[in-house]
Amino acid sequence: MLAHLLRKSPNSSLINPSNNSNNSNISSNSNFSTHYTNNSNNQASNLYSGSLHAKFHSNANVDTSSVNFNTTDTNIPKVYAQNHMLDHMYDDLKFKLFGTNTLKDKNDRICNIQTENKEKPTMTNPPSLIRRTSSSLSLSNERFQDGFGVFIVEETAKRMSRCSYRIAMEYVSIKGTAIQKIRPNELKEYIFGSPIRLSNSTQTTKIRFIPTSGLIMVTRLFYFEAGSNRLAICFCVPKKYLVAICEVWKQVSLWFDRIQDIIINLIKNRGANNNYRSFVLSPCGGNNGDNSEILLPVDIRNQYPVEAERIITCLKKMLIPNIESIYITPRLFMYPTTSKGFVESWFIDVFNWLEIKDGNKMGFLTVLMAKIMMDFRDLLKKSDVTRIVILSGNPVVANKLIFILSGLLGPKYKGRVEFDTMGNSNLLSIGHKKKPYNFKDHLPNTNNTNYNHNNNNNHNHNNANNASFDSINNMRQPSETGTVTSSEEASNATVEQFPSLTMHSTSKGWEIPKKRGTTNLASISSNEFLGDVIQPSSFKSGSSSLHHLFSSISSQTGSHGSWFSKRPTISQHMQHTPSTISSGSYDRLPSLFRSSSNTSIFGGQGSGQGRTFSNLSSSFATTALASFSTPQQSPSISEYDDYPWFGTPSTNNSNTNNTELFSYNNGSLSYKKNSKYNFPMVNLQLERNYQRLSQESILDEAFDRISKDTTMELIDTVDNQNDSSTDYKITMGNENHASVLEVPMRDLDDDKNEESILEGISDTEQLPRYTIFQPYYNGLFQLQACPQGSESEHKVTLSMKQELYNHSEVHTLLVLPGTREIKEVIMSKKSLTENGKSKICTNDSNTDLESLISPNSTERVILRTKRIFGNGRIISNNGITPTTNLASTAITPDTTGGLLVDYATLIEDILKQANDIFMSTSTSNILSTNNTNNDNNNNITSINNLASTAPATAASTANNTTVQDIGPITGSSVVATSMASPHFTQNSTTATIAGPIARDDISSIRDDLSSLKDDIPNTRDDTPSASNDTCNVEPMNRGLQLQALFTKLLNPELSLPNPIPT
Amino acid sequence: MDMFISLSHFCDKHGPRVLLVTQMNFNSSDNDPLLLPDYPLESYCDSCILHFPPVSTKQDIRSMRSVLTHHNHQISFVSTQYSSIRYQLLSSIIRKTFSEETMIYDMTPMIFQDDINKLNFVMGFKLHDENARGNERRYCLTFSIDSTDHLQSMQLLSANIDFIINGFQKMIGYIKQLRDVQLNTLAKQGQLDDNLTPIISTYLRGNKTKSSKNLTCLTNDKGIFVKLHKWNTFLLSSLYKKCHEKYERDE
Repeated sequence: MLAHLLRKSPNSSLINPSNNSNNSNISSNSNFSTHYTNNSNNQASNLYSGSLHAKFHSNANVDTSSVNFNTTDTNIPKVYAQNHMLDHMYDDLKFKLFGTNTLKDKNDRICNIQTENKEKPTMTNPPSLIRRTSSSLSLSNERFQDGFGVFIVEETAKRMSRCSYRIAMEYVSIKGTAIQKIRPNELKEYIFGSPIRLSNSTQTTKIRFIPTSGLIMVTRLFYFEAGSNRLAICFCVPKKYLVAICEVWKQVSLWFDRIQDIIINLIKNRGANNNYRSFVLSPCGGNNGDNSEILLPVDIRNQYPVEAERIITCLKKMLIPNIESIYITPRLFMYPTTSKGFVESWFIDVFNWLEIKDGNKMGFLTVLMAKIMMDFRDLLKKSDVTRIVILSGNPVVANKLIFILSGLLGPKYKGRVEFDTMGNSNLLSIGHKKKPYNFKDHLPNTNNTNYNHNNNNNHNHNNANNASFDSINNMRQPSETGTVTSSEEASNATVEQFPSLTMHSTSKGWEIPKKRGTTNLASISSNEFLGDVIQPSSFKSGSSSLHHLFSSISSQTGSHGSWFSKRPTISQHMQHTPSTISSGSYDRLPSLFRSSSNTSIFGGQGSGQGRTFSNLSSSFATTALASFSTPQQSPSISEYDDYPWFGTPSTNNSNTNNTELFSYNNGSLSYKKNSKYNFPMVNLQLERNYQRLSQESILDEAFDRISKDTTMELIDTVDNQNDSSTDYKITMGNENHASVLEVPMRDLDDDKNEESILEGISDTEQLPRYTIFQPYYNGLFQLQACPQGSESEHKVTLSMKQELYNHSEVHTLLVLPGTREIKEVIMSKKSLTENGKSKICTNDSNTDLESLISPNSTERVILRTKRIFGNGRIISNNGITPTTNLASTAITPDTTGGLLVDYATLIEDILKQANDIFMSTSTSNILSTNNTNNDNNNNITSINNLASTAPATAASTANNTTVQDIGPITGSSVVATSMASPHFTQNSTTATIAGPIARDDISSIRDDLSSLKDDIPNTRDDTPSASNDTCNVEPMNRGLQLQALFTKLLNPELSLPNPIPT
Repeated sequence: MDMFISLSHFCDKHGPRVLLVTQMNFNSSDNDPLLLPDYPLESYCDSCILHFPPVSTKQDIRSMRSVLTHHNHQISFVSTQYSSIRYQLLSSIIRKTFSEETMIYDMTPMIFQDDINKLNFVMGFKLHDENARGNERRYCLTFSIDSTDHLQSMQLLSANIDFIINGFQKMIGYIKQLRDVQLNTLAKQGQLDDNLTPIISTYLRGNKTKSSKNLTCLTNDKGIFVKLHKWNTFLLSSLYKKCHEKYERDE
């Protein structure tokens, strides 16, 4: 019996023994499993789950006491934990990745589609039902609890009869749902339509709504052979999945094809037994009763249980998870390169990564970026089965890396996303110009000048008169909670006082946000590298805490990031006092002085720029740090983020004679300081759900204009071609056509001759399939991160293999931040030669070559794994000897390594330039803040006093600052720019950059931007900062320069010495 | 990819009929094949005919055209009563929507795809009209992709499905709203021949006096077809731009 059952369940052989690694996650996994066992109230399903149990119990490696098992194929996405991923993500990261922190998982348009019929939701009973049936284990809400159903129906020849159909198979995943409430007669109508129709034998697929049930029905109608009865396969799912079904139409079609094959085989088998054929071929001779022409058996599930099981399993494990994962997986928002806020934030994240993750042995990120720029960016566009998979045990780090990588990828959002980096950072607009979103409307505080850049999230708790600490920030870093509320406090801010300023509401900081996507106190993170340190230890991901431990340790090779091993001690800080002012060790400290009140010192103008506080006394800072080392969290929690709480001391960097390809050592030093910049991302208030951006506002506006067209009234005055009263014209008829009314579309243009609405609509609403860290690998997404496990790479290759059915070559870039490895996996199909062998030769030890015989055995699947990067260096200088056509990569293997080096060098140079921009603008920022904060003179003075006592900051207060003291830059000095005339600095040693950005270009862009600045609604005029332009020039120019650099980064072809062979 | 939007109608007398179809021509010229020659109007009843706005001169207008420029390339959008180049296809589509499928006219989308009808996205609605059978007139707004590549056309639809649903709902909502306003106006003037009026109700009785009513009459908006043309043009041009600029906009 058992063997029989095992044979029946085709996927049971694919049960993944790697679930040992997931055992810690019993609750979520058991959710998954119990769903299928408990909710399948039919015999076949119970049999099926029984077989799985049997399989697992026979597996000695699996803890039999655990219900944790993986029943799915590797390509089946498991998505039930998606929302948990978002629950524990800080808003700052959400802004970066999604553009907003309020993601709707519903498609309102679809969900409200039947509101006019006053439809009552009928799908409300499943949750209670589920809870009753699953006694001990609570089910995750994300499961496909709405239920789904499958029907296989045959239409008999007697179309006009009432009983012109027969349901050969019916399966409903959850009993008692709306699916079962559809009356059979209605069902027939929905499936087959009217009996009166053209007699053709075409195969039709249709999606339709079932009224008053909240369901959609997807039907495939086909014929066994011409003239036979019409057969139908159909499945019902809740209507919210309409969009997802359309998006995975390929899979839906494939599913229909498979089921169709099963049914046709079944009919053939049956015909062989019953000799039915004669009846079918002579439909007129209906002397044999009603069943004579019936193709399908009366009850497939009883008579053909194997086939029935295959049909259900196919749906349950192939299609439904795909639909669900498309529906529920949040996708990244692709910021446009014109967004200065994004660009700055992106550079800062890159610098943070280089500083903290890559450390001494830089190269990993730059090579990864180079590899993506070199070919993967284009491959992703060309084929939707090209993927970048980050395998990491640490979701936070993986998501940070995803943010960095997504910056390189396209397609980008084309509309306007404008952070106002000027007077108030709360004004921004997306989409069409006419509809800027003003945050002021949503904020209780009308004084926009008070927004600390740290708090300019939409839902901040800013209160001008509230001197208490902002509870949203203090959960992660003690210094961030500090608020200097008066000048006396500021000037008297001595070491003793700091502890009292800290950890004001730590208990609150530990609270786990209960509700996702709402304004919650506990999840706001605006300070990038401070963010995400404290994660609830109850966080459930697909991998165990062992994974986190693993990645935390292993990913720190050669760097200083390991929290508990390399954490700077107090004495270290003390020792570094004079010299490490530029090392970034306590760059975060000044946030101590950030205030959410209007007595704010540094964030006072809310400029949206990361203020720098380099003029703080170093000794002051150090002592403050020392006092802050007390409230440490336990490593088990804070290690969750690989970023240390405090900066990393720069030690022994400069003296290392690293003769590697890239002189990273110097670079790493110069990157150090950047962590002080913190461009906060703000909530874009995007109207979006998990998959799509809403374009309703554009449609609203366009429709308003069209429906209010007044010139239409004048049409009847149109005389002939020339009538000035209206734009409507009449083209006279000729021999080919009659007269034509020429309808102008001018009313779609803006009133002020600005861009037409039509210009703004060219964005797709559908976001690319890039997502964040997922608990399970999901082959549908092109950029993702998932836990690293013993089987994770195998899962990736297995899903690639499945793609080979439709594609000749599949590429995947595997990124392992833990071990700093980058691998490119290429799988291709090759027909066997006449000898039955395909000739494969390799002379590259870095390339793993496997040959797998694909199921049809006339083709050979070739798997090549190229290690791009490992052990801190580029490996694949010499590609493998190609046995398959590599033309699609547009790069011959021989030049790959060299080109990669070129790209990496270029990227590194650009990053260095960006770093210089940051550093050169840092000092002036603080000056301008000082100059313009007239309202807060007392505070400024006090801080200036503090600053002036520090000799180390003397240079930084000067207009012209050189940054050579930060560290030697190879063979050159980087000239920092003055505040008054910031220039783009060019590192003279970066000879590989063929086309440095000309100063003219910059100035022209600057001109463009300053004109753009005028377009920004002038609410900033209310702010004091607007009164002094010097405050605005710097960040504006910095943004410009960074933007230019970013554009350059995205177009490396323009700068490479050797153009890419195409 | 060839896309077009049509408004069709189930006539009490003539069955499924196209009222207006908006098509695109990528090579705009004076002799646009989409423009219709003069055709006799006698064969159309009032509810089936496309009413062009009245023009003072005695011109027999048979087409509406808007020309939009996209990347220095002129694309014309032509709305006509019927499609001369897709006559069979369109006939087949409307026959399927109105006759072969059990359409529900409640603004829920229906999508069907096969080799004959290609990919169609249909949204049905009905307007109250005491002069029509069952006191309602049934209409369908259909977005069609004339392509044999099923997957690709579904991809296009899927990438813009919210946009299309939203766009259709806007137009249908507008028409229904106009109809409601018109009904209210008539009711106030006491001109509404409501079958549900208890005294002289013709409800469930034979109503021999069914007469054809045009959409312009039902909505009391002479420019409704021009607006439809404009809206279709907007939707089509947006969709065209969206699918053509998908990958041209990275940098």
